[in-house]
Amino acid sequence: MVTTQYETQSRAKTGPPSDTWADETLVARARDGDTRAFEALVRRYQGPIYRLAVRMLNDAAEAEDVTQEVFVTAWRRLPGIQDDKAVRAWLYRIATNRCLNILRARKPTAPLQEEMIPAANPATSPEARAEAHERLAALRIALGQLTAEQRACWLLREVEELSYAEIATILHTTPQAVRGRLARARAELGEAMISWQ
Amino acid sequence: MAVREVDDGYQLPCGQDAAVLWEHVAAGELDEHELGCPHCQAAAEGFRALREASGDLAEADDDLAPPRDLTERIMRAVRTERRRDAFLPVVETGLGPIRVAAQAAAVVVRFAADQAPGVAARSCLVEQLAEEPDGWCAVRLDLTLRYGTDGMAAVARVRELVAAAARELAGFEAARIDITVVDIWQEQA
Amino acid sequence: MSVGRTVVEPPVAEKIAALTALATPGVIRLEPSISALAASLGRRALGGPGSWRGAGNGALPPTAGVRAEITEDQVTVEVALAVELGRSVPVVAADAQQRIADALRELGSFAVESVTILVVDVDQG
Repeated sequence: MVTTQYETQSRAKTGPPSDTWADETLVARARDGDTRAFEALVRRYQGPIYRLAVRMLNDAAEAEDVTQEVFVTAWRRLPGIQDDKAVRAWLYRIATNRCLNILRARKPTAPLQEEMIPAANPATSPEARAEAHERLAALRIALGQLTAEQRACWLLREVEELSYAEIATILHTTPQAVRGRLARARAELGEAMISWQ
Repeated sequence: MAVREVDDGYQLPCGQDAAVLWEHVAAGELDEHELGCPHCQAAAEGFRALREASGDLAEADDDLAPPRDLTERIMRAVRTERRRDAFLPVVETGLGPIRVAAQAAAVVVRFAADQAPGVAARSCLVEQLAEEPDGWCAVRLDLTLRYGTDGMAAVARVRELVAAAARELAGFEAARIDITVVDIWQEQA
Repeated sequence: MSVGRTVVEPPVAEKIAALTALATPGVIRLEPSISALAASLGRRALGGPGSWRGAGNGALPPTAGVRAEITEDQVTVEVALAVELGRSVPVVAADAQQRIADALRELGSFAVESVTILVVDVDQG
């Protein structure tokens, strides 16, 4: 005998909270039109996507727009996603392509805005803090001087910690080419950091 | 550093491959050549600074958080995108038609299925059946089960819950409920 | 008492329908949607050139999720909304429908031709 208590219970059990569900569960439900599941995906990945966009574009406002476009695009394209488990890399791909398109369309000079350089993490002493702050600032400037593809490669590997295979898919190239690009990016950045020293 | 681009990467003036030096700096162990070579030493300093700064950059997350209202803006945009989906059989009150989207009914079905212990619903499709009386629909439901759950009992429970919810919450009769178990999950430690 | 025509513009009816729907227990939001009503009226209904709604005044902006059409003495309304998860959808929808019809009748001297409720989504409150 089944009786439901949905109306009489003031608080129905809602099952495992969507925030803890695996990516592939959220994707499957979102593809069906479950906006709550999609919102959980947004909350999970909007931070990293925004962070990538900010560092690729050096513009917080533009990064916000890009982040929004990425997720709206993702919503539209969900039915076509090949591998539900790989949604994270898939989102990075949409975001990276968007950023690269924007950078290609930009005028050559896009100077690093001073506001984009936030305070450094606290270190042990004021001197160490100041040094770390300047060093980080130098890195940001150096990043801005890489080519867009090199910057994407470096950020995706060093900050977002994607695999070579994932980055290769995102940039439409081979893992070998990714290693090469990464090595060049490191060499250029290393050179810039020597000058800073 | 005055590097030269060669086939696979960059070469220092002394002939050392920059990528190899990078690996050594990362491992904290330079080889004999590198220890004595001024080019390598300078480059290694640059690499060390780069590694430190990269670590700081990776941790600088908090300063680069998106604005709080971004999620809501995105969801608003997403909701305007929604396709005009199929609707379940119309209910005609004296005042006009009430139409429930199949998508909305699917939310109710998933909610009901989630109530069964050890079950998490995934895809759900609610379809009006042409050959059945008005108000009768077919439900197709993909489920995942927690490892250790009695599958037969769980699925039976899901059927009960879905049939009741369809009738009481969504306003349709689930003429058939086709269930596919698509995955097993484990509780996080 | 002087005699004269009282005209109620559709945006007013839409606003009333929207506020009434949102005040209904169990309705959590309106849903922007391409409605059957709007589709049957063609581009004009969506505020395009020659919009039947845009005759001159722009006092009220279009209300997302609500479409009203007023002909002679009759008003027809369509509302797309989302219902709170855990509630009975038909019950909430019927409640909203009744309240909207009542509110519109109070508005003026016209008859309510029909109130269509589209439940597009179910969500947490």
